[in-house]
Amino acid sequence: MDSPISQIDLGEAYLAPSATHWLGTDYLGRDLLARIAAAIIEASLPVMATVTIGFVIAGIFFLVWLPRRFPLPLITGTAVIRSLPAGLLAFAVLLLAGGQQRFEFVLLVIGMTATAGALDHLVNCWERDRHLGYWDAHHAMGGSARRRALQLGMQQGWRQSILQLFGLTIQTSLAIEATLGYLGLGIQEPRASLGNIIAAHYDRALKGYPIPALSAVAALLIISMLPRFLTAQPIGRRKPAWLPRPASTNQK
Amino acid sequence: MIETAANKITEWAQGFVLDGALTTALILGWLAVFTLAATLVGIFIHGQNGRNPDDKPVRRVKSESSAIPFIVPSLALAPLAIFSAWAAARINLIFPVFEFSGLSDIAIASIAPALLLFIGSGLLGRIITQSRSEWSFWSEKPFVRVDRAFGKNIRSRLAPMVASRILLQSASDCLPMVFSELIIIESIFNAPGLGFWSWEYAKTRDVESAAKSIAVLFFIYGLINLTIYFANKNLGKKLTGYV
Repeated sequence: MDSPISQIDLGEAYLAPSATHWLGTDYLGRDLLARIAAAIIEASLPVMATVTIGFVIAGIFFLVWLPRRFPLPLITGTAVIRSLPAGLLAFAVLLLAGGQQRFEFVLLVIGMTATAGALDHLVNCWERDRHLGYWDAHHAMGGSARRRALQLGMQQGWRQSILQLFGLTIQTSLAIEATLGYLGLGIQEPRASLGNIIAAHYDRALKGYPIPALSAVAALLIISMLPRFLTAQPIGRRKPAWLPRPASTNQK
Repeated sequence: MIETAANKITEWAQGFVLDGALTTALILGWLAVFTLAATLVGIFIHGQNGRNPDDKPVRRVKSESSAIPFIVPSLALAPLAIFSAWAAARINLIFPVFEFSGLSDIAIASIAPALLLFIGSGLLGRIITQSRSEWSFWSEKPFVRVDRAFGKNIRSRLAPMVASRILLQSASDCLPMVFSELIIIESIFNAPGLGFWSWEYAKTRDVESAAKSIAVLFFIYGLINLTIYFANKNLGKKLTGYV
């Protein structure tokens, strides 16, 4: 443990915030800010990367499969996986793996649910929009189904909802990872996770020193809410301000 | 035969389901109460706004963004609530010791976890957006306009329909997150429910008992989902008659 993040110095345990340690130190005398940064790098970023990879795989699979009809088992399977509580599922998978504390299993479940969720969403969007008038016109002019899904769907009509689902999936996945870390089933000490930082300092916080636990809680709030806010607003091409607003149907 | 089966189930469930089911049922019960109360409040508030859409423009809701529940991780929300309740008013939100407490103590202690689950799982936000969009959607339907022209009370006719739609839609959207967060909420509040026991068993590597607790949780989840599914199906038939 040569890294400064893991340097243990029991004499410096629970130091208050200072110029040297901006958020103070933890129960083993390690710098808390460095631990939180390490948690974001070691736990949160892999989770975000896994969700992104899951969405990319779902998108590629969807486009490759597209000219054919989606088989019923695939549609049902993705819908079932999407509707299951992912946190409970991850907990169950870790138990079935013999209670092994493997971060890889957590990432596996997160990746699986993200892929299934994205695929289910894309199939639903396709089934909803594929007979729209201008989609049919595109088909009549010889346009391919893949091009329709990519250009009219993913790049236009479905873009916002895909982005929002992506933000929501990242948010829930970060919450699941932190939860499993707190429960002792995800990332283990000395590796850092926001969940295991909160767990390590929770009792101390109840006894009147809440800074380490609250710092990790604040970091979890920020890191989990950020993707949600970033994807909540329309991204990309916006309507020019000079365009007239559509007339309300309620106006006389 | 039935008696033997009942005995077998009791034997299988003994020790963890009977201990944990009560607390989990209380938390989920309070959650249902909060959901119902928020729906009624939503109908009351938005019912007034959408009373006469010809005179007063109904606030439109972006359908896409309203479909995404607003979630706050319980692992962040629950410690914040516990610390601030203690710091501000010296209120201890941690569960009392189960063996030394009456049912009323346990029931009162279940309110805080249920409330945080209600907010954190996105149910509250979902109900707010859903009640707004449902009311504006239904109040513009032709049959409602006809009723209004004849001077009938629109709110009393729409309210049951809108309420059931809000309840079912919000529940089906947020139920996975509720059950995902149940374990962490029970663990943080030290509430000895099914989630808490599964965590305790997982810590001691009693995989069999933990798996049983998780199986019971999945069973409850499936049961609630089935209820929502059939209710949605029956409601769908009624609504197609109106539309």
